[in-house]
Amino acid sequence: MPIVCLRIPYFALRIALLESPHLNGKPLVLSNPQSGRAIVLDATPEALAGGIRPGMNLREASALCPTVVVLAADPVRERTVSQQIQNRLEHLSPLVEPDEAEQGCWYIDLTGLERYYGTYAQATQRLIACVDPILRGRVGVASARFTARVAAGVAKAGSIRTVTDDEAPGFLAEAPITWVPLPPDVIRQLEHLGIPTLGAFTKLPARKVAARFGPAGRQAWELARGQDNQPVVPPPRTRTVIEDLVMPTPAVSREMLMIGLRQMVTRAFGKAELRGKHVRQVALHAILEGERRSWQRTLTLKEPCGRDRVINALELRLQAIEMAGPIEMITIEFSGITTETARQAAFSMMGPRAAAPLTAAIHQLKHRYGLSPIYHVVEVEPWSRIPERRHALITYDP
Amino acid sequence: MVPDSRAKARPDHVRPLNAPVAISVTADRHRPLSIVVNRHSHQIERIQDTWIIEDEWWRQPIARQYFALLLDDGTRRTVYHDRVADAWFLQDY
Repeated sequence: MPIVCLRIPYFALRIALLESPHLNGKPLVLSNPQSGRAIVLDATPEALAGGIRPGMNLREASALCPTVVVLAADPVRERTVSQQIQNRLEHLSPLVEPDEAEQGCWYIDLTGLERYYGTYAQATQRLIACVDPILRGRVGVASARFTARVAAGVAKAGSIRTVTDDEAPGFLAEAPITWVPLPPDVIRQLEHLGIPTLGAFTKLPARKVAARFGPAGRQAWELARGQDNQPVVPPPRTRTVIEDLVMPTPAVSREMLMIGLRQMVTRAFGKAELRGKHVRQVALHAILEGERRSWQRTLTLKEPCGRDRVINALELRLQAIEMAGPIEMITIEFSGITTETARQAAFSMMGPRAAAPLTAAIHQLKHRYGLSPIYHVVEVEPWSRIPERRHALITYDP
Repeated sequence: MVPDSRAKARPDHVRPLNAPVAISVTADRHRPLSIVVNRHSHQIERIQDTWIIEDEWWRQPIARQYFALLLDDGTRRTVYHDRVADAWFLQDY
């Protein structure tokens, strides 16, 4: 029984309760009030009971349920809480994998840890204790990931649902089709086709499922049958350098933001960890003035960049930024740190003005070696199913 | 963009690109279990996808089963089993 799934449904809404516990039990909705068309992005069961549905206009939601509390997304806070929970889980097991498709969901492999914690049940109790009770975490335990996830889905808040190998086929067969890992529109199609449970889904012929819903459908069909050997794979550890800056006065313009960013980038590249190195990714997290509001952007650079090029890239990418509010504090995180730069130079020498030196160099090489060692890629049969026939290298001989 | 050199294409001037490279594969019923790349043996964590190409049966038949593999070091490789020659090759698709 080694795989555990820990889920915190409505994660983005629940974390607001950590700071405002008095909101616990009230109908909460997540929205984007800054945007032109504010809609309900997510809603707690209390709000759903009031008739509110995700995708609904915020005015309509307020009319249906006057006591509703509207919260704006706080990605920085979500990331921080998520990381805190993950760190606590990693103290209990080395194999912890966050679910990429669902925030607030983790898989933990407890294989071999029963000798350390006594029993699996004791280890699972410790796992659920990693989460503040106000977040209403729930745990599913099974020998396969998908079964553990479905078990966590049907478990009540704060409880543990264990599914043994003998129970698993029956348990999965009765589970609602909504647990199948397919996009919501596909799940709706299945419901319209009269397939309410995973059991009904597995009765469909595998070939027909694959033909209609593709490889993802086929994989979902296998999971629903309990054919699941996906291991828990922890995300790779990446070395990062983080720099914070509290703005002396909240930044309201892009220019002010850039002044702060320039200072932070310079400071970060002066640190021993980044001196003489390059980075591939820059993440910006900003805390906005007011309560529980934040903003974040991740910039993946085309190639590893040093200090000056990072500043240029930030200036370029933040040109069209729409600031959701005055920025009080900003954090910049550099990852993909490398000592080598794989800079792909543009073939400026191929331009009409600079072609002559290249031509001269090729003539010299040809004279020296008998043939030109410069090649260019040409399409031969780009439509071919045989990969080696699609392109070829042909001598560049001006 | 490289300007067209207008030089005549000659067979000795053309080099294949993305040619398959013969590799050593341990397989169970034609499903790879481990592969040797650059003299390093790698276990296969997961077969992410597989597909079959059958072509040119009218002259020299081509029958390949491709496997998109996730290796134990996290890298992804595409290999194929040549069903005619019963040999394994590494090739990006």
